[in-house]
Amino acid sequence: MERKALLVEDNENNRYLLTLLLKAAGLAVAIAEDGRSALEIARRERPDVILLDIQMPEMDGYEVAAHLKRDAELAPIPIIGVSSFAMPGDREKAIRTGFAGYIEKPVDPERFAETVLSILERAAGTP
Amino acid sequence: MLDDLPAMVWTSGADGVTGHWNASAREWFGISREESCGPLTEFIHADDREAALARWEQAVSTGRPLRSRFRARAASGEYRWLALSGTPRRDGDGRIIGWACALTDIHDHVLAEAAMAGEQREFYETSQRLEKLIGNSPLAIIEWDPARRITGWMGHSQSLFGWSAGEATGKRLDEFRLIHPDDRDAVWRALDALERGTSSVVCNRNYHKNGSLIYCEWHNSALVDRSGRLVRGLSLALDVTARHGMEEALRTSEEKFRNIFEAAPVGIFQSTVDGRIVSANDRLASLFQFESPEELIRSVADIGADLNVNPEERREIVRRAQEAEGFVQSEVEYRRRDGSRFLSNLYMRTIRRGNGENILEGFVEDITERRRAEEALREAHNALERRVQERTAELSAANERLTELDRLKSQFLASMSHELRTPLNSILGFTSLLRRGLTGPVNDEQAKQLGIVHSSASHLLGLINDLLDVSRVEAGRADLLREPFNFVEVVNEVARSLQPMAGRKGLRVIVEVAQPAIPMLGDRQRSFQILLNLVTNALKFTERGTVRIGAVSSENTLRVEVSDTGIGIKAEHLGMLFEAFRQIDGSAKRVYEGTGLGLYLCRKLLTLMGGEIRVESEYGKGSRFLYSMPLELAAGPGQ
Repeated sequence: MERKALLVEDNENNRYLLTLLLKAAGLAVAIAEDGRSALEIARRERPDVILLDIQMPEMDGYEVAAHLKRDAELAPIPIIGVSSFAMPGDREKAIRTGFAGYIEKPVDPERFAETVLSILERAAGTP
Repeated sequence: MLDDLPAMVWTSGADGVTGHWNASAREWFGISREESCGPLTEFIHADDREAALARWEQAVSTGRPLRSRFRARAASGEYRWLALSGTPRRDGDGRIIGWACALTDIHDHVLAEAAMAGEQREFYETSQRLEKLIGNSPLAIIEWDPARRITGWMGHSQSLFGWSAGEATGKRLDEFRLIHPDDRDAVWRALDALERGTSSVVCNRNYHKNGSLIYCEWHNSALVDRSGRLVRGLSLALDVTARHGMEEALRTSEEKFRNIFEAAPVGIFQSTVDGRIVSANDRLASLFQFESPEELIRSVADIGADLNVNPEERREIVRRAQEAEGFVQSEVEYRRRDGSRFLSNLYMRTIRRGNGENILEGFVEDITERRRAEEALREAHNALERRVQERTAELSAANERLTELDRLKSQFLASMSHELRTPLNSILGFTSLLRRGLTGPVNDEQAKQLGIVHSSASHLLGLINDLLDVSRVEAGRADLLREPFNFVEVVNEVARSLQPMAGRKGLRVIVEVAQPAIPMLGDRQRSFQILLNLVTNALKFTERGTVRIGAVSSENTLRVEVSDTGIGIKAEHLGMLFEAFRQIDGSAKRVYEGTGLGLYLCRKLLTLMGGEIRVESEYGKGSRFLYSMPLELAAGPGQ
């Protein structure tokens, strides 16, 4: 069965790039352009993994993650933070908030999909 | 025959009890011719009888002559002293046949004797008393003749002056060191006056034989003959040195206190409870603008009414002074003679006079100036305090502005990071996609150009990352983590991640770590960054050969060495190597990519971690970077 990733990203170019990379890795991709629609789509699509941009207007990544974790059905879905927020402690904050992984922008196209897949495998291994 | 003798005779038999009186005796005793025979004893005074009989009986029994004296009753009935001289009368064989006793009236003689004895006793006692007096008195007694030569050196003369009688006698009074030279004339004048009949008491200075000074009081008197001429002078000297010392001390002390009293910079007074001034010093007078203490005392009848601005103030302190043991103090306002006022510090106490009257005494100090100075000081202090408060407020505001600026700067850095990297994300991402042919084939020329785009974008990203790092480190915001990790893994990771770069250049990366693990407590990411930076540099500046990474832990320190066989560094460039934006050889050609911030950042980070870095290099042969850092990061406030 084809696994599905939900990509939450407000920047159009990034959405395009990351979608291409995820598809090239063999994943189906659902897209949300902001936090609010991300929650709706997650409930509807039930993705296997969520790639969540941290810096978004209105509802930011941490808030979206908090909502997801409060929903019993959505809580088990691994969330990977994607962020150019490169201040010290960002990665730690993301992991603490319950993120399964953290990828710093700009993403390395050659390793991005690989990282996503490995997190997906790990999450699948420990249901 | 016996009757014809003018002397009194009594003759007895051998027993000596009864006998015959001759005419003289009968007449003395008042015995008639008919009673010419009888005992003697009944005439003897009762007090003397027993002793007289005892002597008589002893003489009779031994046959020796005797003499005795006793009181006997004369014809007048008066008892008079008689002397008896008895001799035994013997017969041809030498046997005692009787006694012949001559009696003599010695009454007048005995009385004269007794009188004489009394006088002698009196004389003796008087002289004893005198001697005692002289001996006990502290007086030196010196007798001298009209030439003023010493003829007697008595009493305490020797003990007072040290000279013996032998040494002093015969010398003139001024012939040896007896009188202080400055007092000699005065002494001589006194003695001259004495010769004219005026006795005197002189106090002058004398010397002891040992040279010490003695103050003496001399009582001089003259013994004159009938014509009034001086025969002998008698001088009694009393040592008054001790008294003199006390007088001197008293005088000095009095003088001292008078001086203090007179010259005191505060007013001193004695006053009565009802407000009269008893005594005052100059200062007190001048405080109230009077010419003299006398004028002040004369002019002021009631201190409270005349001097106090508020008489109640005086009543109050007087009341307190009478209740308290010592001095009481108060600030009192007074009025000067011209009506102007001054503030004073007043100390007052009560002393009880011998007559039971209470007297007040104390000090008045004008504190107008002091008060003014204190107020000025207080004002200055307040002004200063206000100024400090203002400045503190200003600083606080400035600090708030700085805090705000710092917050803005952090926000700016965060936005910059985000805004700059987002487009780079696209550039690098799509370039990568294109080069990998994921969206269709590219020809060689296009691949080469895409490579240039990619490497330029990578360079730009590196530059942005380094700049952000530098900003953080310089702002002290590079919050170092304190987590356990194994440095050997860091080394291997660096080697692994740079293997592709080394491979492209045909260089070998050799890891030389003997220890299987180097456990550390610190920031793994930053440790990785430093080593990655140094090894990347080594690879960049090396065209062929090897890059070696060595690491060893000893004691509490990690020592790392990164060496290469590259172009090396010229000696003159070594000094500026760790400064920002100093890429070696930058002037000629920027052959090597890099931001010029890497080594600067390495040193900054190492410094933050408590480590240090240095470099050794031989130009053309290679470089060796050595750094050390503590195995455990010190726990800091940021941790």
